[in-house]
Amino acid sequence: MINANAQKISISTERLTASPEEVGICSSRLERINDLTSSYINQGKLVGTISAVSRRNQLVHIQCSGQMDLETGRPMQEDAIFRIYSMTKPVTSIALMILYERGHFQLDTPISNFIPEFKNPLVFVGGTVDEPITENAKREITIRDLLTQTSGLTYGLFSATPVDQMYARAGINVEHNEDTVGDLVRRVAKIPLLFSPGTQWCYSVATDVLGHLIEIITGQPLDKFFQKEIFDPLGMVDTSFYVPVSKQDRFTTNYLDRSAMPPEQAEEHPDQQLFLMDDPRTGYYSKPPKKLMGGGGLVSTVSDYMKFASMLFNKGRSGNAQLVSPKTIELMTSNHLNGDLKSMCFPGGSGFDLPGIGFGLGFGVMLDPAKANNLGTPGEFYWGGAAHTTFFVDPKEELVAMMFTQVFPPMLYDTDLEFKRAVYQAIID
Amino acid sequence: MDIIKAEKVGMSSERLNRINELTDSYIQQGKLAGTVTMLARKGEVAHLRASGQMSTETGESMKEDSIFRIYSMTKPVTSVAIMILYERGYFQLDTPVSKFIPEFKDLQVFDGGTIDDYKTVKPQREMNMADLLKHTSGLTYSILVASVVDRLYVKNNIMPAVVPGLSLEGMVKQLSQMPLLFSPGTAWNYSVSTDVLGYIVEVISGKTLAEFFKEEIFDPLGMDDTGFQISPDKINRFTSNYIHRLAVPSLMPNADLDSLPDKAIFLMDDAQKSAYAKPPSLYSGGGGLISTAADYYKFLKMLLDQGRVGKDFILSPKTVQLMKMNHLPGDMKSFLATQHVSNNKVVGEISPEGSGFGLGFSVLIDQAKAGYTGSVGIYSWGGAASTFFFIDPKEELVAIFLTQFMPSSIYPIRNQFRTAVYQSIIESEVES
Repeated sequence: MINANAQKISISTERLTASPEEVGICSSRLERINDLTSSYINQGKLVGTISAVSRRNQLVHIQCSGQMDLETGRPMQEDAIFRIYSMTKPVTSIALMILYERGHFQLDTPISNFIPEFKNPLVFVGGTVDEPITENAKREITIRDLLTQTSGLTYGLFSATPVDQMYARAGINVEHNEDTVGDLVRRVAKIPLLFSPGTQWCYSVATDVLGHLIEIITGQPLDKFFQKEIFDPLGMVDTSFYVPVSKQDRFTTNYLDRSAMPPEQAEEHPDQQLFLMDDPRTGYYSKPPKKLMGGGGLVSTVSDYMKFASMLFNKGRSGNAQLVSPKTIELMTSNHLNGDLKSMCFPGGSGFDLPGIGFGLGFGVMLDPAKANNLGTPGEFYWGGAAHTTFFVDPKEELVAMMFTQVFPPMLYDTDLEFKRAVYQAIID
Repeated sequence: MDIIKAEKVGMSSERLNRINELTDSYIQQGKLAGTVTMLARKGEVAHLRASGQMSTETGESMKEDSIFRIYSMTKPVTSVAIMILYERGYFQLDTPVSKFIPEFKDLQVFDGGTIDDYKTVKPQREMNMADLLKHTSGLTYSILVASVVDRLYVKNNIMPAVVPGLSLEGMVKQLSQMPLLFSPGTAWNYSVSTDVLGYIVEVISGKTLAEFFKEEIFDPLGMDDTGFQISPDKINRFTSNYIHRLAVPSLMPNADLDSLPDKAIFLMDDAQKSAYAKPPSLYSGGGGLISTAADYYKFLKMLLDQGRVGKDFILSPKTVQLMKMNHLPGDMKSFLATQHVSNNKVVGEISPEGSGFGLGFSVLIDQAKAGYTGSVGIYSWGGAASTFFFIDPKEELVAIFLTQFMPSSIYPIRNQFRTAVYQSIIESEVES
């Protein structure tokens, strides 16, 4: 069924700083991004999207498609605010590396130096949720393990191991409980690790732990540190852990696809593809959260995140500000794994066992496009968020691109790969 | 066509003569009827030469614009066609093929037995689009006759471009009834995969493969002499196809071997009476095209120029880059389906040692293993009638060898031609 409103597309040309051709991109081919987003929107799979592409620091594409929400049907607007979930992780990783540069730790410093509860970690080797069998880990969790997701921590979301079940039972990922992130970290520390630190890769709450580490080192809440050290210098005016009333009309609604609904509830609405999941006015983000989650708590706009990603592309620099040194960016965007995610991923890693992709300090890193089965360049780095937001930076092709939307569950569609393909195929130089 | 002096593009005119000596020697010995050879560097054609005859029966001289059956050199064209549709967003490389061919949803893998009584097991995963492009699909070729599955293809007439009357849809239906040779992605095996891709081009575009090729590739590139059929006004430029004495029993089963005269090559398809004059029952993306040196050069030049044709682009440079990367874990040799086949003599048109495989052609990854002159990164393929091409992006070199002689495995002419081309380079672009 075609939603007539979804066809509306606004392309703002005022903010574009160059024509695509001036930076080696073909305008007509670039329109295939529009084909991609309108196809999803017309099929009712997504409500609205914003995509943006810059090359050689020139913004050559920014495009809104579809709607802010189904309830009011307002067209998507360029300054719309999105839940970026795991795209918070690169921000937290940069924040931590700012502290690294200031000498607070080395990458192989054990995290127990800052959070004693992590001293002498145990690894789950068998048994059940109630009676786990554990043994001592081969070594302690280091800060680098947290950055590269090789800590042995897990999420309790993406896989179904007994350890994940222990996370679920301990309420690690319940948004609405009244924990602080410190409470959460201390509860995580009591659960055995999935594997000995450094031996495998598993997507996890590690970046939330890093967020708490920043609070311990600086003595400031994470939101204050982000504001002072990253958002203010970069001019990221709409990025934060909640949306104040004054900005609520710019906040998009998050939807859950019917495939993830309980079957009995889905059957009550046979024609409905998307179900309201988080309302901008009354939902989780409508007031400051007690828990400042460095792994996934931020909301942002395309314009703001473009500033952040461009800073990464410009090797830490933005205008006169140098957030981190170019050497630090190089280190962060190198592959820190012994091989690719396919070979390092904990078995049953549900969608993260990617061939040809490595992992740096906070980003996925393209190693081999042939193995990864997609257009790309070795050295390109990227990440995405649970609601199908995605961004990537390609230092060799001098490209920064992103696409935002709001639909759950994570990894329902390959929109990130399709967007990447649509951007790369438009390069003609 | 303008031919530039070889020295202007870092090659020696005198050394280039060795290409002529090579082809003339084959022709004088009666091993080949005729050849057209072509070589370009840095976008300039430095060599284009016809030698011998188009037909030993008529004695008509070979011409530079003669038309040849290019067989598997059709595969790179089909691969470019499908990547055009990839760029337009119709699929990802790991999209299951069953998205376009629902009958391929539950393909099973051969697990021992005979053509009449065999067991199957479930594959480890579904066949995807990349598998078809790089021949890791588990499909095979009847012509290899190296496994029970190959013989099943023969029994069921799955021989595109050979069995008259078969349609692409019919071929795909037949294939869906056959077991796979191995689980997709676990081995490399030359196969009808590219014919299946041709079918998918038709399914996605709603056009015939011939129409899609013409509109999206041949017209933009000005490839006026390339197609699936020889038109009456061009039949005088069409060459005859010959086979080696040893191949007569398999390729011409009705011929009486004992009464054959004592010569090396035998007429297999007379240009003037060829089936290529009629529309084929299916457009074989794996081997159906006829073309000329000049036309195929335009196609290769587009690839060398990373998709560019004048001001337009057939493909983006990023897509061409992806196509010419090695997509196998090592070279073809290390990934051959050897445990599934009874011999590994006929594996494709390029030696599997030291060459990997990209999305539609072989890619040289280890020169020492391959054991011939060239540069790492050259991509290439050939056709069943001994035609051959390679592109060397580093040396900005494109070379084409055309003749009409089957099977291609008899003479080492491709390696000899490649050597003759490289030895004529006197200024290399590759740092030593």
